[in-house]
Amino acid sequence: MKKDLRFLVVDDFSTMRRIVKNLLHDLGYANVQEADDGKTALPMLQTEPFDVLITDWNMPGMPGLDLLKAVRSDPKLAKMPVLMLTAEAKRDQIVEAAKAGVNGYVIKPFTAQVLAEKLEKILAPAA
Amino acid sequence: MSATPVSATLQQQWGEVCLALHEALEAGDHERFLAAVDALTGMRERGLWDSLRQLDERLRAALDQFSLDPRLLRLAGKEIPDARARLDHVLRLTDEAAHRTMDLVEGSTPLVARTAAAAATLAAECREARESGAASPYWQELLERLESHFAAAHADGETVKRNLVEVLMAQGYQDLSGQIIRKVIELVAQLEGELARLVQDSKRGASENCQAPPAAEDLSRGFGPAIPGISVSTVEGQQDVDELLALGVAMKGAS
Repeated sequence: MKKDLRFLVVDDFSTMRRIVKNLLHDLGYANVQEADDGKTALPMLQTEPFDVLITDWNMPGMPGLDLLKAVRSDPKLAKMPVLMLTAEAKRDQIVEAAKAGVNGYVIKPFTAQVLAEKLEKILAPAA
Repeated sequence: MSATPVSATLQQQWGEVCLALHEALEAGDHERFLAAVDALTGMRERGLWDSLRQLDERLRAALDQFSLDPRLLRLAGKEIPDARARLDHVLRLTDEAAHRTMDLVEGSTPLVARTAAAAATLAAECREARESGAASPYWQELLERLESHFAAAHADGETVKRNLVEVLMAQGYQDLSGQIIRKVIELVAQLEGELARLVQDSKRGASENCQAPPAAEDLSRGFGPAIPGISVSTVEGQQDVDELLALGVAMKGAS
């Protein structure tokens, strides 16, 4: 039943969106949609029912951190699990993302195994 | 003792005003003293203005020379825009190559998965047939060979499937290198703008416009992938990330 989860993958590089989509399919998640930055993602999140958000950080238009903040400040989306999948590697940024309420942070380049582990962790029902 | 030429110049230039200062001080004449101080600072400022004027003249001369250098004009007008176009092209090429690779991976994965699954089934069926003991010794031996062949085919297929996932993951280089190239394109565009302004200014013969420096990179925008030897204060790996994330969550909880 958990395989019905609806994912939104946000990245400005179509290559990366396709990689993530493939990995999610391998993990059994078939319901995956894409957006190329925060500006296009936010209206999708507000109008369509998504369960999980996977977003890059550095994107033209609206960057991932701003998208995360927008999600957390929207009462309807505030509880949505958000995984950041990004090459942004400054220590301050990771702390900042955590403070903004990110659930997981995976640094690029990453392995299929790390993505699977972090996803499992953020999707586990809060104990 | 006779005065050296330097001290003679000093005496000539500053002697009179110093004397006036000294006399006013001795006499306790406040007004005359302040007037002498004004005269002194006035002389100093004139020197400063002269230096500034000279600097300005030198700057104009340098700018004029710039505009005379045809190589600079070529750089600003042609070579730098060319460099940007080339980098854009590299981005497009790596993007196409990555997608082409992923087309092939996506096309191959179901094939190898199907073959591996069929091999596993056939290996099991061969074993059952062999273990039933109904076959003649000839068939018994053949079934044994077929079973080990299908088992190996299944294992090989599984390895190829895993390798294809790795090939897919490796296409992430296009994202990482693309982000770095985009930063360089931005930088080149800025350089192009500055050069164009310099050429324009030197044509006018004066640089009156003082543009604000480009906005500093900020955390919210992002910095792009870490580059060894260039980036500072970046994490070492996923382990590092996990620890910092926990730290950030703790800080959030505390605030």
